[in-house]
Amino acid sequence: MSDSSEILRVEELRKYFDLGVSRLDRFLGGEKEKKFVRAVDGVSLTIAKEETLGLVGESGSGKSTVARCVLGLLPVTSGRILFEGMDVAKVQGRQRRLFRRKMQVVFQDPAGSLDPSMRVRDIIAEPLEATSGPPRRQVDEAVERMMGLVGLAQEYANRYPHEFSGGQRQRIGIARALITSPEFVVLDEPTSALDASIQAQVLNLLKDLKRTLSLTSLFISHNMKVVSFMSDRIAVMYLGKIAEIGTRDEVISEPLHPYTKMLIASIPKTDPDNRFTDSDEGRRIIEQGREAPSPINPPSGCVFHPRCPYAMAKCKVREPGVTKVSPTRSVACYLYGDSGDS
Amino acid sequence: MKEAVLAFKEVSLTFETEEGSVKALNDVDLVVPKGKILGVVGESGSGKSVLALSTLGLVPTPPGRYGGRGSIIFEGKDLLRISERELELVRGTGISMIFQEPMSSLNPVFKVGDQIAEAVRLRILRKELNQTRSVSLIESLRGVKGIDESRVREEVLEVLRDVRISDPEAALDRYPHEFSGGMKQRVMIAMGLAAKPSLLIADEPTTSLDVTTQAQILSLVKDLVREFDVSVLFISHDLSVVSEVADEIAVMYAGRILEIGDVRSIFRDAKHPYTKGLLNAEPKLRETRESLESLAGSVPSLLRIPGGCAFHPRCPYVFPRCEKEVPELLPVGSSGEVACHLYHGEEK
Repeated sequence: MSDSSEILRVEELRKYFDLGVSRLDRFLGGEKEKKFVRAVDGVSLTIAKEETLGLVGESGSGKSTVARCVLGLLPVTSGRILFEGMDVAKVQGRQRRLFRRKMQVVFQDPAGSLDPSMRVRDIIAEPLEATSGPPRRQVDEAVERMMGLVGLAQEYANRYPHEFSGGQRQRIGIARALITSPEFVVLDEPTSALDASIQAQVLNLLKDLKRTLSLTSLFISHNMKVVSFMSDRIAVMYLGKIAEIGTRDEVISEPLHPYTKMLIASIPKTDPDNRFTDSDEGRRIIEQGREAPSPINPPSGCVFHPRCPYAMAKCKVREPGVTKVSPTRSVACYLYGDSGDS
Repeated sequence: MKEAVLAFKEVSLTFETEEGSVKALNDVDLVVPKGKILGVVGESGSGKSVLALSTLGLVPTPPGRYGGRGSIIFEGKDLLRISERELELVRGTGISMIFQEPMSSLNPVFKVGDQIAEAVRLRILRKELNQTRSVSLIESLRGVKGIDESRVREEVLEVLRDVRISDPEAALDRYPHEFSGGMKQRVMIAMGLAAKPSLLIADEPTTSLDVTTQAQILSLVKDLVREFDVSVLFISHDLSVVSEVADEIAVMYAGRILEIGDVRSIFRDAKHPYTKGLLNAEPKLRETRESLESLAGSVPSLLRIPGGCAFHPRCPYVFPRCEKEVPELLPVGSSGEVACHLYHGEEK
């Protein structure tokens, strides 16, 4: 399905990190087998123009590695990433700079991703200067416009990052990402380091910008509530694979994959009459879950089977393929069919 | 009057720094009811962690300085005024604490079983043998005179079972790094339980955990309250985590309690504009909304707490009195207290 409005296409992306053989093992002549972390193991997804795809998963699910590969910050082990039809791995030279203008990123830790020795003005201007180098006056105008857009007062332009609160720093990070008028933005846990009241401000800002600038984005978070607020479609990742992908309403109101169900059941409830700790069903799902295995030695068959309340014999042996249950929705689970290629 | 395990009365704590006085706690009045979970929620810099540390005498003075009138009453004793020896007794037997980072609270070079055994031995030393000394390294390897080591081992296994560690015998000989984050936190809770405390203080116990693991720990904490005669002071920045476990909720802001009440009344009928703001700031899973109601501005620095009500610069309902006068925490409705001028008229 090659939609003309499609901006990003990820095909069978794999990213393994080589752990090598430890020196001790080499010395002892024991285990010589190389170990790999299968951070991303066969991920396919597409993002259409003006769409926000939420990528949700727990630590070790590989969601940030997907982001890094998409941004071209990590070489992929196998698979392809096509941005506007161009293979990200193959863009070089001048094209690469153009690509950088079109694809930007906002990171989680606003303190760690802003150079403490640079003034806010220069931090925001840098992507523009680095990718196209317009005249100074034009840059100044753009910085001014961006600061207005994200709600930072102009008089802060000559200050340094440490003079700002976490929420303001994240606004600086957003202004810097948007100054090149990118076609596509990766938002990697942009509000996870922020306090609740500040998170709401930044989420509102991001949603406003999405609307006014018609932004296309990949929104990554471990927080299902935040993903649900921001996304048009949601992909749920578990141990390097996509368990389920669908529209926001489909995934939230009627989760299919047992992992998605577990994830949603585990969300703490603000409404005390709706607590999972008070409901037998909720407790059963959660207790059954035990803990996520490591991506170094992922389980055989379906990676979720050791935690799955519905695991069948074949789940332990063979990985389920992706079953398309509706035009917008796919799930990798035998409960919904046995199609697929693996 | 409900029975209190722990009671803070007008507790104030200031840190003198080069930049000025940091007012970490300001006239905190708070009661942890017996057999219940009191949740304390607050954003960063609200003073919630220092509240926990104060309870165990873990705030160094100086630079910290407690206000003269304040007291923290536990089992009839004022924890701010008892000797270090008596405090040791409380730490080993009366109050246990569970911290956010299980990895940095467990010793990486000792087996899990030995670390829990130390807590058991300390309790026996302090409670049964009336000694406040600590257990030396040699003693923890060879056993302490007067303590039956087979009993220690039994107790360690028992607390490991209590926290639902599936193979407690095997767990004894493992090192902390062999456990996942959630299992480490279970070990920390087991160590806390080994002291057979009447109060468990949990300071952000699930913050570094994944949501599915967090869910398991939260449900474990609730089970423990039911199974053992223990009360919990549960501290978190996350209102939904606190709501999930707590019977009562106290909302902290700039070192002060702004509102306290039964978890249901807080959720259905929050009084303080800050509490309402926190409730509305949270994205709801099933609702589609174009924007969240957000509180303007940010949490004040404890170095420069605004005069009057600390929340007034961010409050949508602010009126002149709020800038001048600090509102007192006073009862409102049937089951709560709030510190806000909107609810307590012109009696002054």
